[in-house]
Amino acid sequence: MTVRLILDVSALLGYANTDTALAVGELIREVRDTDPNDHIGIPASALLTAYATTDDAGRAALSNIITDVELARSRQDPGQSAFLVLPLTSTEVMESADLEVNWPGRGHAIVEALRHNAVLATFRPCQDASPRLDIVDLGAGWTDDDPDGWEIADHD
Amino acid sequence: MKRVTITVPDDVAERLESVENVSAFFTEAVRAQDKKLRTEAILRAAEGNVSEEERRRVRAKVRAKFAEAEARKAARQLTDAQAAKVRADERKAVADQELRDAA
Repeated sequence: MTVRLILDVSALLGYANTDTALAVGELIREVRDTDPNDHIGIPASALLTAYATTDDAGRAALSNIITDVELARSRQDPGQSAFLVLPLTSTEVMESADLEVNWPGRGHAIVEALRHNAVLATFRPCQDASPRLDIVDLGAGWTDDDPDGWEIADHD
Repeated sequence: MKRVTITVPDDVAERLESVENVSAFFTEAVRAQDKKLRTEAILRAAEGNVSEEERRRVRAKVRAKFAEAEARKAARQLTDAQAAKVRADERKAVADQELRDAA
């Protein structure tokens, strides 16, 4: 089971916002279309933060992901969902917490991206977190007259 | 488990002639299609109404960004693998020398 893409809080908030959901959605489709067996990893702590931060419509969008993961779990086959919720284990807490100090909303996601050798999707780049971190900056360079692209409001 | 009887077009029937376990083949195909449809429904619900033109534009951009990130990752892995080979070659040279010295 390969986790190829990790979504941090900003990516989940982007997904939960209809103005920016398309970018995240197309990224998810890209993973699915190149290998249907690959997963999109959602760090549990990022999911909690995004769920608590977004509005009702955003919560509904995130709930749909959670329901899909739960359906696969009930069938005892995580491979039946494109998504995988990644728990914050005791061995990851301290490292995630340390990263969270400098890169709020990304600590657990960075740890999971490094652990799974996956690409981190974010609207708030954190390349300095690790030289081994590969990032898709969803916020930058969408139009010529708006090089900074979409922005996701700070949640921290 | 349930037994189902289905009717398929000739081309599918022909394809199935070379399949060892037809039940497993169909189960896998149905699950894959179900997963794809569920994922698509989840994404469409989040995205709302989007024109195909806008979808194509964003898709192209996102694909380029993701491919660039994965290319960076692959390049780093290649560098790491080359460095690991150099280190392994050095260890082998030392071990070979120790073997010769011991002989």
